[in-house]
Amino acid sequence: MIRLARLALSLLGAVAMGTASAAAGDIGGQTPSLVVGTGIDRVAVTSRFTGRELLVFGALSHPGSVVVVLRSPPSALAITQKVQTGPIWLTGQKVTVEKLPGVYEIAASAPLDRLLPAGTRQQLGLDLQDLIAKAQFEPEPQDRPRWERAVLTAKERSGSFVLRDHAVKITDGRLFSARLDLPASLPLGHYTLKTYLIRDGRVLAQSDESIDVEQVGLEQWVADVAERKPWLFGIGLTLLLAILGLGLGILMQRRSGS
Amino acid sequence: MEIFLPIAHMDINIFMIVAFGLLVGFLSGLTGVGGGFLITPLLIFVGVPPLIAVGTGAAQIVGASAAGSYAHWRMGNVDMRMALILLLGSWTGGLAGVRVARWLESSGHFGLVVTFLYVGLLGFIGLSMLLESLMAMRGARRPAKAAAGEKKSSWATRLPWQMDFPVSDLRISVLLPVSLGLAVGVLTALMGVGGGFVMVPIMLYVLKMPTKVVVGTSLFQLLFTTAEVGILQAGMNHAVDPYLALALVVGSIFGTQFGARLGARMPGEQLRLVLALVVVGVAVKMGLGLIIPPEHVFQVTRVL
Repeated sequence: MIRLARLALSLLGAVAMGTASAAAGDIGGQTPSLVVGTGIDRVAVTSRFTGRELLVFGALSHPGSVVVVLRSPPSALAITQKVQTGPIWLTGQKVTVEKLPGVYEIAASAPLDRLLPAGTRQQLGLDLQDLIAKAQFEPEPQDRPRWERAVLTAKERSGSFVLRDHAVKITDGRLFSARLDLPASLPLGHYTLKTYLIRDGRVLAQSDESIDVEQVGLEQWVADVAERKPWLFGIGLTLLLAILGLGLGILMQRRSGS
Repeated sequence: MEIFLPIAHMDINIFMIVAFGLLVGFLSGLTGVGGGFLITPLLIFVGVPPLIAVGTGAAQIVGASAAGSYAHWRMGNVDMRMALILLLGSWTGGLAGVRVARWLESSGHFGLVVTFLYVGLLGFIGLSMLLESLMAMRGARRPAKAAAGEKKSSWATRLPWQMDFPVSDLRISVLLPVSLGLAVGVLTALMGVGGGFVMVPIMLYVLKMPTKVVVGTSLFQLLFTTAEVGILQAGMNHAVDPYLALALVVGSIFGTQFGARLGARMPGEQLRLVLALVVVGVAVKMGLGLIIPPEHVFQVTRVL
């Protein structure tokens, strides 16, 4: 509650400040700024987590376009190519892709290529192709552009890489809101959320937020043990399955016997 | 109820998995044939990565077979010496199989190999069951197998390391149960099956163990083989999903009970015909997966 109240206050402040500068009628009169809120700074992942919406909202000191970028920690993926041999589809080469964010979502108030020149887009990491071009492919495939396209398609299909051009709504040139969809399969860790205020092909102001994606509760414990102590997990689970099977089986036999 | 599987990294409706357990348990209780070879294909069909389907398939057999093994052990139907020698082979085979699985997975070929194995094995089992039950329903008598058995025992008796198995009333070479165990262990690791469908006929017709002991001993050894493979698949390959395994065990135990009760009141040949048709159907569906062009030529798989 306190967080929200503080946020509301700072939003009001920003709008007031913006109105003042708009009255002055130029950008130079006041440093452009933006205030951004997400309502949450932590996403709790349980086994019931099947994705969620992330609302990003805020206020602008000056009118302009807004771009919101959510970036997760890197997460490796492997990709294989199916090859037809006679009538049968076999698995061909397998390539592991590293140094690529697991989730990358861009929401903009207008098409990006109209907002910023290509150089700036690449510099700010707003170019998905460029992002994949900078990833590490192991082993390096012969026809790398084709594999890069395949990675992009796969990432877009799973909702991990998203680029939406009209996903930021601006009200009265002062307030903005954006909805991002977090997919079910989220890499854990520290996510960065960058918001840019853009006008005339230049970034006027930038705001950096962060969101922590964490597993919680029993699920966290199970996933943690399975990942870090796989042998202990295997032995424990196998014992649990045996006990469960034995217990339920004996229970059922007693019931049917009586 | 959709839940997120921590190992398989996907959403799945957990009630659907319980229903798979119920269905396969039901068929298994109805016909007396273990259903491990149906669980893994079903998991693959709904999108579980093949290695996880295989690892989880093996682990859930631990739960599904625990009560039965215990009951047979208490009734004295387990030839413990035979079981331990079988385990010597199957644990070795299991270890080798899990290593092979890891190697295949890291080169990206595991899914394909599993598909081939299933098409071949299920096709063979399904077709032979189909023929057998059709012949039985037509009233054809199967020829006596005594003559063939006499010949077999002559080369079997010449193998080294003969050992007495008092419970089974046998004297055979240790090499036979060890190599049988070895094969079953590899099957468990690569296909996520218990291997009862291989072990039982060989124990009956090649080793010539008494029927009562065959059922108890095979169940007992497959409990410990699947336990070993389950632990290895989790430890080496991160390939056992806890929620999948628990849901399958709960479903299959209830399903087996219903199946067994209904099965007692139904004619055996027709039941086996139904199971044979299901098995052939699964083999055909897996086989079609090899031929039908994939929706996407590039596919995301696990990093191992």
